[in-house]
Amino acid sequence: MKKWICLILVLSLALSMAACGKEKENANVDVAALYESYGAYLPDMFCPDADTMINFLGISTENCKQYQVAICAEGMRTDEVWLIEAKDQASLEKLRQLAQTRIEAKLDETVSYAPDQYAVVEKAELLTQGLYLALLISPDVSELKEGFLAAFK
Amino acid sequence: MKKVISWLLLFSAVLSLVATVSVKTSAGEAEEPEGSLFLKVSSITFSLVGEREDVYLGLIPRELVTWESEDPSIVSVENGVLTAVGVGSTVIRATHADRIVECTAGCLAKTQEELDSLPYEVVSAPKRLPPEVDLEEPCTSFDNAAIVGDSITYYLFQWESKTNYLGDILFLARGGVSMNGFVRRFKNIYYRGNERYLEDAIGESGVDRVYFLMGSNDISSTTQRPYYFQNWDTMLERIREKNPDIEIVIISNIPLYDETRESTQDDKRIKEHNDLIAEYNEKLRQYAGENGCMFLDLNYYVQDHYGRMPEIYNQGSYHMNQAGCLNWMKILRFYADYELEGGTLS
Repeated sequence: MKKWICLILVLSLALSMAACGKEKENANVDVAALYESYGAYLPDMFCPDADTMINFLGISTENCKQYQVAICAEGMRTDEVWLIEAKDQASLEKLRQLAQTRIEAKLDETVSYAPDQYAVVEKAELLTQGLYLALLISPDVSELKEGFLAAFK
Repeated sequence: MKKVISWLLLFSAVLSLVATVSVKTSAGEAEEPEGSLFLKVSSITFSLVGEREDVYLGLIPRELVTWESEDPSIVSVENGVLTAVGVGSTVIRATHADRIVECTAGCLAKTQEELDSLPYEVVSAPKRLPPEVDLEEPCTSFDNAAIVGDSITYYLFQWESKTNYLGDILFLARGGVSMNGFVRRFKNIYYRGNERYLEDAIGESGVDRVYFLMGSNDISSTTQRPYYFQNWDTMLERIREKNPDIEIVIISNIPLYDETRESTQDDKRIKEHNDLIAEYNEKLRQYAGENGCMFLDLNYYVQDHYGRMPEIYNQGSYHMNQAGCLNWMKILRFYADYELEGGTLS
């Protein structure tokens, strides 16, 4: 009998955890609003148009259900934010690879003559929650990360 | 009677002369050249009395243009060539038929000592300003063009992306790239999310013209400098092999700004660097002509009275800030308009 009770408890725990996971995957986060909330932490940024996103970063808007991509508009500062809801799992994987490549490119760009910016890129965060992806490059990366995670709570 | 005959002869001679003149005029009108008048600058400030500069770009033959200086005791003009005569500022006007174009022209000092004693803000101002261009007007001149460059061009990418003043131009820019890196394949261009060889990125983009501002990282390196033009040879060959019809515009390199603001050892180093840039730019101009490329002299517009990058354009010595990039975009658009009217970049 004890075994049965244990089994039922474990099963219900597992189910509740799965339910939690499901809730996160189904979260409906407005990435534009989330980006807006980052305002205090970011310098002057520009949001590339669809052509620039594909040519410069490799991001096809076809892989995105919603997106907010912003790049620093001030000289050597390396701040960059990608907040994207991918269309599906395959799109998410493509975006994750692009984000990884972008981090490597930025490391390479800054290593020789912008050590302070190199340190910022080194601390870049590449996060996913369900089909959502965040690439966060900023001196205030922990605040940005906190904001991203909070949006899914 | 003789007098009458003489008068008649004289009268007929005068008539035939008038007729000749009117025929010539008619012929002249029939061959009235078309196109606008283009000056290279909207403003030029000579550093010292005695300096001369040809500011005429065309397209009307210069001998058909009427040139006028509002104050020839400050700057005189002859066939588009300006000469600094005295200290001050005036207006130069070029006129042909109903076409008029003006620029301001001035001069700062009579002697080097006078120039050296002027406030820093005055001598570190741009010596030349490009013709005015309404950047707010939508631009399609670069829809099939790319611009290749290092971090200097990346800064332009940043400012252009905020304004869209160059329309749909494609930026193939990456900090730290050099002709040496392209040739030896150790630092290439990111295109569509992947690191690509430059000639492949150009080919895949489908552009029919590429502007290059490349050289800052090559010329400043004593080990790479000797191979600069050899590397150009290799890259032109690779690019043309994959893109036979591509048009190539080489942009001149820009000088450094002197952050020390004083005559120090660092100032000397910067002067040597800027002299080197000027020397290589002249070689680049010649190289472009000899290798089927066009040449766009950005450096001409990015100089103060000591050949440095003007203070108002500077961002960290090597790069140009928003004002500098706006200036650069004006230059690109002005010369695109000039080409549209039949001018050539050389």
